[in-house]
Amino acid sequence: MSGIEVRNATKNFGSVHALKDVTVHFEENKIYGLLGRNGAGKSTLLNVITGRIFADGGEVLVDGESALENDRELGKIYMMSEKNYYPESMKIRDVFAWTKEFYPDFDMAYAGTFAERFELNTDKRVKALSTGYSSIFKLITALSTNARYILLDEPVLGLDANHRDLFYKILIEKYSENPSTVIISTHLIEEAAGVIEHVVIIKDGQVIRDESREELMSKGYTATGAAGAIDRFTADKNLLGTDSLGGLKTAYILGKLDRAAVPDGIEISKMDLQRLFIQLTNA
Amino acid sequence: MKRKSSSIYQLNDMKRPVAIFYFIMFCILLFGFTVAGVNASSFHGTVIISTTSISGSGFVGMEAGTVIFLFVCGLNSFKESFRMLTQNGISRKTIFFGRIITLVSVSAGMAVIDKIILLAGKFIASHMSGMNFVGLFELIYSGHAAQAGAVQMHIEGFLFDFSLYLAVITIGYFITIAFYRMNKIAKITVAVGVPMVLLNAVPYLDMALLHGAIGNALYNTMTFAFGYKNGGNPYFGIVTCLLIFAVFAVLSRVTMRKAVVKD
Repeated sequence: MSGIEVRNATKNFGSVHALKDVTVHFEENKIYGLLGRNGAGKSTLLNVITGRIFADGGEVLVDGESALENDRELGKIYMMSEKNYYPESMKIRDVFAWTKEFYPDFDMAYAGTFAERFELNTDKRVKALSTGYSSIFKLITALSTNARYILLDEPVLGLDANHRDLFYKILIEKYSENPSTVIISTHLIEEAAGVIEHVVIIKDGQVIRDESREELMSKGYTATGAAGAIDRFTADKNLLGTDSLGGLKTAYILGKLDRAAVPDGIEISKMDLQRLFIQLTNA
Repeated sequence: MKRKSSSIYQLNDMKRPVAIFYFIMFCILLFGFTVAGVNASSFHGTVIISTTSISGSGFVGMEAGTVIFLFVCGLNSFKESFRMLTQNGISRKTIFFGRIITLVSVSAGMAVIDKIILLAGKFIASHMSGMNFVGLFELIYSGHAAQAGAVQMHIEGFLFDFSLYLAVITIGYFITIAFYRMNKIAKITVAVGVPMVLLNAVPYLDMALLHGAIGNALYNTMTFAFGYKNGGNPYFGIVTCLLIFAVFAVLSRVTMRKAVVKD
């Protein structure tokens, strides 16, 4: 089977169960949003996939083959981490050159163009970069590898709004020209929602949602109105959660909407991914 | 392909420190020869290691500097390259393979360079009165070196230097991996405990309770391992160093097999 398959992965750090029997399949040529609160297990899952840490149980298959200590399969994956794993004294242009050594499809011209668009000075050393530019240089490296599977762990960490916007534009451009599997693990869901095709939500080390964004969004809706009316309306519904402001209440509901059954005074709207995420992971 | 890339990266990583080392070495030699040339009568030489009585002044056993340098290189050769290579999708076994290629290449390369320095140094020293330039091999196996022809001595000297360098850098490599795998408490315990036990507790107990039995056994083992019990046969030393390399290479592989990338 093509893609990255994680089968029954478990990982404990002492008494902390970081991953509990996680099974998930990242298919080819899709953009995934790997969402979860702090400490939910997102980075642990990505680190297990890339073999940076070892799972206590389960396995990771890349295109049907075990990825464990397998250079060929590991070479199909590039993971951009929140932390920097490049030598601090290395210049950015040398990082690009070395990445080309390990990922022969690395596009030096594309990396150069990308660096210009972000105004990244490639003569700078890794240690001289600010948090934002450190993320930028790692993003450029990741997207220029042309790896089949690109894993981005908190890709927009420290980036200002303009750079975040530029990154998502470039990601879409890149994906349109040369589709690959991109897994974005991020806290900034609202901004990433526009590019995510498929959502995997992790909570307390377990996958609680694994479906397309469309499918997930179609499963719920938001109802806003007077508190009493909302309480009556949601009494027999699968309620994810509510927000109250003065006498106004907003309810987040899972299930099919029967428009005919919506009483006057209640406004129905689509649920956005961030709202749904908050409600799903708060419970 | 990945093996080649892993080897190239790790070899490249050593280029700069080796270049700096030889630049310093060159400066020391230049300084020593210049001073000796200007004031031959008052110069007493830069003696790096002198465990034997050599009349006059000069350079003795300069390869000892390479031994110390390579040990330090070994101690600094894991964490950064492990992180960089893991970042680039290289497995641990390929990282290890690349490191072994690097250790062998660097040891061989530096043994060759040291041999060239030794030959050049001997040539220059031969034109200066009272000046000596003696290699580590000649120092350790002086009896054997005196009997052997020049070509044999330099070939054996190269083999000895190479195997010694290889053993030392691999020991350093193993120590750094072992420390990388340990938690903070274990690191402190080993860093403080091992020298304390080996340098204080064992000698004290050996003298107080065992009447020097451990010291004698150690002496006998070392003299056998380096060929002194066999008339100063250097091949004992060469084989011993290669065995040390093999043992520590295996230990390094076993220790790094489950190493994880730490933040």
